[in-house]
Amino acid sequence: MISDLSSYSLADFLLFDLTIYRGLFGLLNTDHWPIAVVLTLAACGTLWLLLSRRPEGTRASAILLALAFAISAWTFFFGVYQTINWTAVYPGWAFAAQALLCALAAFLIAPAGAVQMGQTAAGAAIATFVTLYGLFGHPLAGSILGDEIAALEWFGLAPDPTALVALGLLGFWPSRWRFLLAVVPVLWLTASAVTLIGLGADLKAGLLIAIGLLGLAGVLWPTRRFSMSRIEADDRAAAPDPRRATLLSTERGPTWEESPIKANHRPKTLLPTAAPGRAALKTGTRPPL
Amino acid sequence: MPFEKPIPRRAILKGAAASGALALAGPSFAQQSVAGSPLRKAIPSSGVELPVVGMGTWITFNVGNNPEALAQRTAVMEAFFEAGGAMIDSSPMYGSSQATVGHGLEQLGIPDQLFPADKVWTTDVSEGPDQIAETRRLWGVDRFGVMQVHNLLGWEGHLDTLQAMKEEGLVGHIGITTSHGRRHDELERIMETRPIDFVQLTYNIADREPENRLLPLARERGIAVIANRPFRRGALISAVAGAELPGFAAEIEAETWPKFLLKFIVSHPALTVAIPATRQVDHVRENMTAARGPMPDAAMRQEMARYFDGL
Repeated sequence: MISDLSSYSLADFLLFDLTIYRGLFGLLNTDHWPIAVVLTLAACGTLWLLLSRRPEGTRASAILLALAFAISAWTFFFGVYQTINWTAVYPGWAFAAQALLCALAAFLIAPAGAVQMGQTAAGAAIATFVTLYGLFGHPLAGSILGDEIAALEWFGLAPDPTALVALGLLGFWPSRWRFLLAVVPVLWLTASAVTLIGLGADLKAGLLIAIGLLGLAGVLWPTRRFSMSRIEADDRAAAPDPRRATLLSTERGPTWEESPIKANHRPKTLLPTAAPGRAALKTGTRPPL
Repeated sequence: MPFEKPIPRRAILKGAAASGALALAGPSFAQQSVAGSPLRKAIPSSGVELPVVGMGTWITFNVGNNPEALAQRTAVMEAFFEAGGAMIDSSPMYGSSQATVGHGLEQLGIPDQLFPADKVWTTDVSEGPDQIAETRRLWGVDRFGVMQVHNLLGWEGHLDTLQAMKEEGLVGHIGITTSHGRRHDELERIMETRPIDFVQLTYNIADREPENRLLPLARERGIAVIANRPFRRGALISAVAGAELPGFAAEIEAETWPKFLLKFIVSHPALTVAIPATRQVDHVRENMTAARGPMPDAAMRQEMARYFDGL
């Protein structure tokens, strides 16, 4: 038994214990709780914009993420975490860089209406689930696993839910920016899971890994893996009326919810209503950001 | 060169306490004798005596600005001093541990018996003096009982700096540290060639490799030894949980496993101080009881090791 003891373990690399680490979030919430409330509500609004394919959705999510990463960097990494971990500045700078990238993406994403194209129903479902988990499931899981209510982790302050919500919202983006912007969240979630394992919080680490992988799957979901000819064929079959069959060739046709074909056939792709997006669909290319 | 008690900076700043603090700067506290005090061992190079159980701060005192934890660690320090403890060891590497110790000393006042032990930990040797100055500020003391080079990091340059500081009377003793049984060959060369007062290494009932060369060398060279990770960060206590203590443990009044494990360490003739870290008042009191009562002799120490290995 004794000879099996390792003299060097993952925990030896950590400077703090789980109780103190958990306590950081209590201090964070005490000092900054209104920010978490505002950003969580803003995230709900942004999710609604994305789900309803409002043209402002992607840009709004980029701005929201820029704010969330900047605030988390400042309040958590350069704030409470740095008091117990001198290496906290490194992920702190990564979060700050992520905030700048998100701000840059928000500035460059135009026309906003084009970016809703290409999201598949499955991809949207994954992205929605991961976003909602980051906003509400993550703190709920923490509560179930014994965290104090005052020390739950909330989006915009704590880095784990911020990273999870980022992956969720990025899952709605067809732009390749999403791959770049997923790097920091994935790296942080990996580091956080390793930290939690080192602290003995294996269940939390497992949840973080599982939802993080799901979020990554949402980001990597092939938004262009649909066949226009197949969709058009399906539409023709479902809507033999020529007036209905022109749905995909009109400049500003109805959305698929509004289309007469909705009742008997719902395309598996959230089709765009704006001309640039439709043109891109037909040519198999993406619209500009 | 005997170590004189550090003059507490805050005590000097507080006029009311100044006279008491200056009085401490006179005779070495090694000459003080308090009835019922824990077993003491002398630092070979200076003759200063220290209680054989001290306190580490790795992880346990890294609590940031958590007010409840700060108050709790202050209570741990208070219990430590009440039980006669003297050496508290920390490092710039330990997050907020130095500041937590300083907070406790500010709340409690600086007790007579405090023997502050800290480290210099930077690759840039030129940064050493500034880091040590910051460490003094965090503790709120002007002088350290021992200043060590942490984990052999930049040891050649830092030892030169520390030697100069010792000659100027800015530190009482100098030393070098390692842990987890790493770099023992290099440590051995330093012990053989450099005039250090202390060496800190990992030694416990499961990590007995230092018995082969380093501990005998320490005795030969007159170097005091600090044992870190006496419980392997609690892993040894977890490992023996549920196991019965051997019958002969009663002979050394080791009625609990932590006492058993600590008595094994501090009873080694070359060992000066063991520095278990804890965040609980009950544990620090229990640890300090290991410095009292009969200690195992060489034969019993072998028996203790055999029993432990057989678990």
